[in-house]
Amino acid sequence: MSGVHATDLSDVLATVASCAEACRQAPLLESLKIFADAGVLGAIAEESHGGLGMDFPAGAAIVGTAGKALFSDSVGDALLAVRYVGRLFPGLADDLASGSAVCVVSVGGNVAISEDGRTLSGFVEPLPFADIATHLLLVTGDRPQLALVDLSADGVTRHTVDALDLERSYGAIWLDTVAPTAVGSDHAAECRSLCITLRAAWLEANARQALQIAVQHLAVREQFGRKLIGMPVVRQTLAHLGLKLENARLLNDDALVRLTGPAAETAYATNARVAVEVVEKSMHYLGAMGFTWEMPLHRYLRRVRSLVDATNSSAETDIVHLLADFASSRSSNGDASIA
Amino acid sequence: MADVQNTEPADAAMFRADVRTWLATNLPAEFLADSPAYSDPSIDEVRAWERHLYEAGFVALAVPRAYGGQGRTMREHLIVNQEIGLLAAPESVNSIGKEIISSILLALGSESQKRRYLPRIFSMEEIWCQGFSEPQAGSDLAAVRTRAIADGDGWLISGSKIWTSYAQRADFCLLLVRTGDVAARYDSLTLMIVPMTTPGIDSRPIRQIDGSDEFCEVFFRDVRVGQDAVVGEVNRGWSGAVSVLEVERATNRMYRGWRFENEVRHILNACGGAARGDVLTGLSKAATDARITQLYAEEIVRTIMAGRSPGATGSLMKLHWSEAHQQFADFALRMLSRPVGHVTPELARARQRFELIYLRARSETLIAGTSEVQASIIADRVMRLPKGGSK
Repeated sequence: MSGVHATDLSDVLATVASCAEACRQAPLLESLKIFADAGVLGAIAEESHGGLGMDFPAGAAIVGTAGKALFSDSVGDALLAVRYVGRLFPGLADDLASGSAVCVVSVGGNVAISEDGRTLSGFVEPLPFADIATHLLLVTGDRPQLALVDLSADGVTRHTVDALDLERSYGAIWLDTVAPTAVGSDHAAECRSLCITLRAAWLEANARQALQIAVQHLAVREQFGRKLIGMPVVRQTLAHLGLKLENARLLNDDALVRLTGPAAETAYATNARVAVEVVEKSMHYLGAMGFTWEMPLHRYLRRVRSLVDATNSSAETDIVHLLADFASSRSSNGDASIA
Repeated sequence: MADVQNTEPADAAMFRADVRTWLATNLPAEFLADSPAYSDPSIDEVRAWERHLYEAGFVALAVPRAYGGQGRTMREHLIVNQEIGLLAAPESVNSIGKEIISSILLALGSESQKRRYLPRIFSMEEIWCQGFSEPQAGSDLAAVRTRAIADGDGWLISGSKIWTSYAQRADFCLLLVRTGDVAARYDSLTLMIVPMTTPGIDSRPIRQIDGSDEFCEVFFRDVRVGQDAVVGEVNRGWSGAVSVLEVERATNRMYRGWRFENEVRHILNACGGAARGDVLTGLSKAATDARITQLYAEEIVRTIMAGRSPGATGSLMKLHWSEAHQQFADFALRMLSRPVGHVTPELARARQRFELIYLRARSETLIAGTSEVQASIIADRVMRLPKGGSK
């Protein structure tokens, strides 16, 4: 890992939190400029490409901080775009890092590359902010390719898609023999794994915050002459939700360090399932208030559920690959990190 | 990620290779529960196997050499657990001695107790049992009634214990007894070492769900022990032991996540090496649950090696593993019980193995702290939930 010290990270996270607070009501483009001006968007891009060179767990922490603050974007796609576009098409990286261009990322669409490698055809899944993005970075194919598409190019059409999330526009992007700006196979698998792992971190952070809101409510709400938080059945249920979040965190941490496909798929699948369950249950614990617009729980539920539904990730990693990945972990980071 | 150091250190890799090679050479195929050659080993055979393991240097890895250990680190302890866990090897017949009582003696015992007892626990010369639970004191050990009364230069013990594993075969028992006022609850409990051949002890095996008689009810009638039987301070037995047990809960049977993986692999092989539909769904979930158990163990080792206490992480691991493993055992048995026409020797072996795993898994949410106890610990110490309480 590149050498990012804890103090560096805490400074960056404080910056992220203040940016998220500052642009809570701002449109996405203005918001991204605020993050860009603070230097956050280049966090995980290499220093040789003008980035901060922070490691992937730091990227996940940034995404998680934005998620907890209910900022409308995960920032994850922006971080990814600056890192990988910087490698694929360096001319655009500065625009992305400064927030003057917006790139959405798709890792699970149905896009094929022509045999000569010159055009792309197909569609990508509903993506947040697809309607205002200037570029699309996508990973596609069995032998993954990384492709950058200028969304003003001929053959690109976009459609708005309904989603539960009312704070972010969702859209599908169709490509009809579109010539990509750049194509390459280097780092395509890594980009896919990192993309879904950052999304998993964002889901986990949203779920933790929703649960925290529920706990704060239960700590003061009284029924039958006692605070609800003191009831054994409530504490047992909360403990099980806390356990599920810890399980999800462990898988995420593992995936961020090893970044293998099966580890990332497993982390995402688990976080997707756990996040929805935790937010739903947190909403339940707020009672009738949880179902109103007076409380933010519905916003967490909408964004979590929308992202899960939009991310076309396999819920079940091939079991043989998964077990092979376990075996490889025993001779890779697991013990190295303990050394 | 070219800058990531993603490989195991050379010394650890070498140690792992040594362990793996030794196990492949020395662990008999008929001891492996996933082998068609399996033949249920007797307790004496398992005891001899565990002694062989000790002589090879693969027991008590992180215990000082002066007490019969290997003087290595928790990293090697983890590696041995991983490699043994990945094989369907027999369960220890002295895990309570090697993993729980040794930890308590190391932390609380006198120098002479440590030198006298620990090496013989690890070498399997002496099997130990743990006398904590009583008919009216299961999860709530503050209710312990078995009493020790000072008598001359020693103590007289009377009472009964239950769910005492291997008491009928044990050479010693680490007994939790009341030595003061009951009203003092935890502050009048003392730990004592009791030789199981002492007159006045009667062990009665209790037949378990799987047909074995591991559990016993043990009766103590005016059992006399000397002053040197006391471990730690009189009336401070529980408060001392509880801090040790917190670590023990995190490190005991650390192989469980890898044994879980072995069981998943066994089911996959029994399915012909490929899985689809509900089998794939169940195996993917089980494999993920096994991986989570492994990651908890690795996190605990990292924490201990950094000089910190694992705190309540052991409760997270225990609650996750016990509930997930119960679900897996149920799934596995359902998969294996489907009608197939011709039952191969491999399938027959798998069915026999998972019938036992399923039955034994019923106890996993009870032993070593029930799920309810673990959830309470998580609520209080991991999530730090406010207590609430009456108005």
